[in-house]
Amino acid sequence: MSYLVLARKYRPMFFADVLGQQHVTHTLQNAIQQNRIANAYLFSGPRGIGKTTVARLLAKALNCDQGPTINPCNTCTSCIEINESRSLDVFEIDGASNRGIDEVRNLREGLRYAPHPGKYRIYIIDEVHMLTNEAFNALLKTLEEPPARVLFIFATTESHKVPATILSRCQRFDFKRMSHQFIVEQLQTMCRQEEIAIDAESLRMIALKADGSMRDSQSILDQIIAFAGKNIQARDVASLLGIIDQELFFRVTDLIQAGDVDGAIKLADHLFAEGFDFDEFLIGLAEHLRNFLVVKSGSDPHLIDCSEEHIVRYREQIEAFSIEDLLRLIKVAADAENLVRRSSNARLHFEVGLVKMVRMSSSVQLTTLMEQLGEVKKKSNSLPLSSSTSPGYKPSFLAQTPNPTTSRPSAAPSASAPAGPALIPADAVSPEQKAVVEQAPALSLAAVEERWQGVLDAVRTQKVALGTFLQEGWPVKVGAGQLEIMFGRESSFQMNAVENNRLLLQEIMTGILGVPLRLLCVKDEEGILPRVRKIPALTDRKSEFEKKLRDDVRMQRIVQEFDAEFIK
Amino acid sequence: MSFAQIIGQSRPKEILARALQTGRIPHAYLFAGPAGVGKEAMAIEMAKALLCSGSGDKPCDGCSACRRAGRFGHPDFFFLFPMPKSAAVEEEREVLDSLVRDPYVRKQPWASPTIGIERIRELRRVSSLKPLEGRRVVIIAEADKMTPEAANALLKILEEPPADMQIILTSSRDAGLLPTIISRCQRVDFNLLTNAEVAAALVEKKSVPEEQARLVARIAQGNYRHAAELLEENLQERRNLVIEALRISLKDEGTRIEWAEGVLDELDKRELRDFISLMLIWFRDALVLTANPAAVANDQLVNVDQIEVMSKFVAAFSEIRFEGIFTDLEKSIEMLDRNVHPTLILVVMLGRLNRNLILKGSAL
Repeated sequence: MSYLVLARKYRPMFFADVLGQQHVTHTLQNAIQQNRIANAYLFSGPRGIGKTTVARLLAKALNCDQGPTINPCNTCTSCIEINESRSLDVFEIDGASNRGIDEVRNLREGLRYAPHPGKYRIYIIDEVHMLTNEAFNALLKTLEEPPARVLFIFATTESHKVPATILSRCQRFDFKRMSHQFIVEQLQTMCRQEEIAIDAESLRMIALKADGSMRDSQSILDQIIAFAGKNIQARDVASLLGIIDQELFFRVTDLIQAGDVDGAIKLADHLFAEGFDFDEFLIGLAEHLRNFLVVKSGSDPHLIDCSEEHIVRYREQIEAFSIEDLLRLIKVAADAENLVRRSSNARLHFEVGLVKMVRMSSSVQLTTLMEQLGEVKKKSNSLPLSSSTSPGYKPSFLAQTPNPTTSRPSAAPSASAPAGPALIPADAVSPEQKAVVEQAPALSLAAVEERWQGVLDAVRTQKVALGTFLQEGWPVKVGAGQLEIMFGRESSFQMNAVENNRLLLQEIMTGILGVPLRLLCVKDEEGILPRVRKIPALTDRKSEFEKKLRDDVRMQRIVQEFDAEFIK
Repeated sequence: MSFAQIIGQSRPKEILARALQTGRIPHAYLFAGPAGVGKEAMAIEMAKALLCSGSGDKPCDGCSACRRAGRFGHPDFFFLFPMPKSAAVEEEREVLDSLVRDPYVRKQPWASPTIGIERIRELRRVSSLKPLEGRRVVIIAEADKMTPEAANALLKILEEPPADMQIILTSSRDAGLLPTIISRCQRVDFNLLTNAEVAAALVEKKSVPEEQARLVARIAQGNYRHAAELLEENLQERRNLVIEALRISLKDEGTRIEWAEGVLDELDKRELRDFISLMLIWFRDALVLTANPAAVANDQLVNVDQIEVMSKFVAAFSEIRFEGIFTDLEKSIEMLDRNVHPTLILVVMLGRLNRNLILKGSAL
């Protein structure tokens, strides 16, 4: 058949044609000129950037009638035979199909014969990463000291799958991804030769989609030519590649802000009618949300791959979203993408995903929720525990008024009150109450240590396990409304458990110590804990144990049943 | 235009027809797009067109080559699909016969089969021989189901097949394909079908009454294969089951468990998945209805015939936590695919539903 795809038609025939990989071609050409050919080469790098091409060029250069030469003539019998892959001296082996030890053994058999009529016997093993371990190992000896005039060329996209023992016996060349600019130039030349009219914007889109791979760009160009013929418009390219207008993503974020479910359903319908790929759309949407995140976090806006005009729009709308919102939206988008891709009911899951995002604006804010939780806990816990609790106490880290940017236009506030009417709105902490926090009487470390056992006991009445965890720690510092508890290096599990229950502990401690304190867990990096920790001496504990044993019948039974003894 | 058998898909049709006209036919195509929209059907038609020896529009469906290819009896036509190594020849034939009957519904009697390296090796062996009648066409259906070894073994043939060989891969999950495979193919994207297209096809091919066809098409959401499968089931009964499930979910735990076990005696795994999808569609409708009562007129609802029940349902609750319900239902489908015990899934699902529906005080 006369028609060849562009990638095959424009496979380079000379080293000079292999562009973008000068670091490889230069080295190889020099090696040929100086007659310093290694006995094994490994070419690695992503798909479609010239590995197999260079391997064939090298074979031609060495076996050319004029050669070894840096410019294979492409006219002599040897070159033609190699081009038509029927040379007797050049074996192009598909490593993925011939991957077993038997194939390697066969290959080694052939090594005994001298090359004829060429100068080198060349084995090109493509996709070499698919060889089995046994096959690789069977190659090792040959590869280290092959017969004279034998050359191995390995090509692979996944060099990490090639054993180190093979890598160390090869001269390795890493092929580079091609730049957008470079691909655009190449495509332009190609289009000129093919007499195809194409505009710069189309070329840019193709190069972007090809992601640094020459062959990908050529395949895409083929695809577009098949669709649009000899006159290619940017519009065709965009629709064929499913490139989605950024505008649509902004529409989604607008809908999310407005909480417009009906709009979301209509948008899904529109996207469906236009034939967009839902999968791609969700990936794009996640990217769009990520852009918001970049702007929100104050990072360099140039981390965003879009036009200035869009960056300005991101800036304008950023107030509408908090970082938490964005993270949750991204998660919903990612989950939906997963479902859309796997499910036989893609459209439904896409629609539901969009609706979920839109409805999220009416669900509770994470920060508000936490504050409300704190309030509820306070009401239910602190009263019976102690009378000295300051009534307006709020854990200080929650006392910061929520960032104004985090409060979203909540479409349905009723949805945010499932916890009942007892909730106090988060920002209802009066200045007076805040003052309590700030003016709390100073508390000395000694006083805390004195009452520490009380704290532990109180915690145990609420949560036995938590008390045991807390016991591993010891108060080391009090000040500025904050209590530091130190944990040994080996007790990080206990420390985490304590941190996870910080709200509860703070409530209880406030009850016992009479002062609201923020709990801070620190790790004992210097090993000072044993010195500062005032644990009852071992002998005391032992006598206490014996006393309990005498008084408590249950204790006696336990000791009896389990044959227990005092350890520490 | 040719490809009259194919439902919708005007763009792929156009691209392929033009390729046939101009002779610019790449050695490898990748037909990508959602499941059940006709990628394999199109691949088969394309294969017939390539092999066709008739004159005029291709495929002519009249010449011997077309007819033999249509029966999968052409010596130069290879159709690979996921199938266990141990599968008997008769079993393979049975699958091909199902395609002859309806190219949109391929029978799939095995649990998660793959395309193994031995089938690709066989392909390589064949590719070194001359085709018997001038040109050879290979279709690899669900190419993403190739094992990694098979996929890698395909790379070399896929890049430079013999001049008389044409390869068509189809995949509804192209993320599961090696990038090196994708980069070697010319891609043709398939879209979901519109409800009207599916409905019309059901009327024409399956002689379904028009009203039922429209309903099934709406539920299948652009997936013709799914629509054809739905016809086999008793859809009305399933939809009534959804309403029953909603009622049951409001009852106490004991009743729910009892009901779930009763239902699962009737439904197998695939039917259960369809049933949960139906529930998802129901709630999607309910949400659309709450958001915009005019949706009925705009033809945005799927369950158009159940609007009355639905409005009563929506009105009965002070709050329906749609997000939670969607997440739970979707999770149930996911769990089902991961082989979690169906009874557990159904019981948990009903329990969660119970918590996400907050009654106004009156039952449904």
